[in-house]
Amino acid sequence: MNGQKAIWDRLIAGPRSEYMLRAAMWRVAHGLSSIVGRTISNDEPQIKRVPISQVTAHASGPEAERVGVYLVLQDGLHGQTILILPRVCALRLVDLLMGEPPGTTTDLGVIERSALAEVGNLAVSSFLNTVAAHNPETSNLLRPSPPAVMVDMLGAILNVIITPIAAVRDDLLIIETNFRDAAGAVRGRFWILPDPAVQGLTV
Amino acid sequence: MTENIHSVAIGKIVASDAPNDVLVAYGIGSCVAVCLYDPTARVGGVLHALLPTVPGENSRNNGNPAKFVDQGMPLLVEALLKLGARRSRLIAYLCGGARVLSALDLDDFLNIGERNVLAAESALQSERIRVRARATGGRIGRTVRLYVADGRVTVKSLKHGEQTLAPVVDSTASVKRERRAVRKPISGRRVMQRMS
Repeated sequence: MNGQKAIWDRLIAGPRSEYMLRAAMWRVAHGLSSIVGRTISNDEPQIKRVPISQVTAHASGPEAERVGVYLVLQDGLHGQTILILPRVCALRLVDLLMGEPPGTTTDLGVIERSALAEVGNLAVSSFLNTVAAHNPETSNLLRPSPPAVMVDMLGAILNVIITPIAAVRDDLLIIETNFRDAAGAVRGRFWILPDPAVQGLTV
Repeated sequence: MTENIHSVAIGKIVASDAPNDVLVAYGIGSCVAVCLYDPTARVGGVLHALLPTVPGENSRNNGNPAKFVDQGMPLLVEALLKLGARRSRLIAYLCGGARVLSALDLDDFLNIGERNVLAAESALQSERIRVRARATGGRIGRTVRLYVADGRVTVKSLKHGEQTLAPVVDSTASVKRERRAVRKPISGRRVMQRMS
């Protein structure tokens, strides 16, 4: 725990926090660009503390239909990650991944969800690779869970990430950034949430 | 009549006796929304809880009690009693407790929805309140609405649209059970309690 707390501390509140997060998110955007075959850019990463009762409003409307690609951070760095996409953007993303014309994908079946899962996997792995590069003591110990894809109301999806933290706190510490392509057809929000045990870090 | 929509966010309790109020818990996944309604006093409330009980032995610094089903339920009942409801007339509707995420190698939080529903049933039993209808479990998110004017409860999901869980409640049956007349709330009086 001490080791991962030190890593989270450096990422969130350390003197090079801004640089590390910017580098990590750039690497995520670069990875996404490679997999979809078009330039994906990202906003400046933000670190926010949001009351539990306001999390879904912070993300968007709680009834909005969204796709969430969820991975748990395990081993050397504990936490949660989620890539949140509007459904229409998820369909478009699948078109790009499959090399299909826009509008081809109209439903998110097993194969389509598998493709989206790989996008989540790539995003989180890119993030963890940057963390490992800046924290040599963690190399080979950072590992995400297999991705899980959820398609439902945003509020229901976010229940998954809120629950473990709500057991001990009334607010969530979230590292977030937004991704989009130049046309705005593919856009998403990427959240990283430290382990509940370190959610109390001062921002 | 213009409806006043009041969102019941995670970890919140909202109770009302205003006839144009609609209490809404949006996008419930594993959370559970407990709707209680007194058809005679026309008073209703919703608890939107996230966890069944305080986890672990250390119950300090767990913050807002309404996050937890077992701590929030008596607070909801108390709020309704203050608005003129009678415990013996309260009827309950349970919504939520779904399992939106399914991944075999993630931890125990995967069945938190089921545990929330069980905790709600247990807490209602302790309060001696009957569950009249439920929309629980499964793998879908839901939005639940309680109409204070008439006790109607609707449940909406992306898959099934909006459906009525409970029709307009007939208050005459409960009145017949009363041994003495009940003074109804003053028309137009609005008492809204938000508890966190």
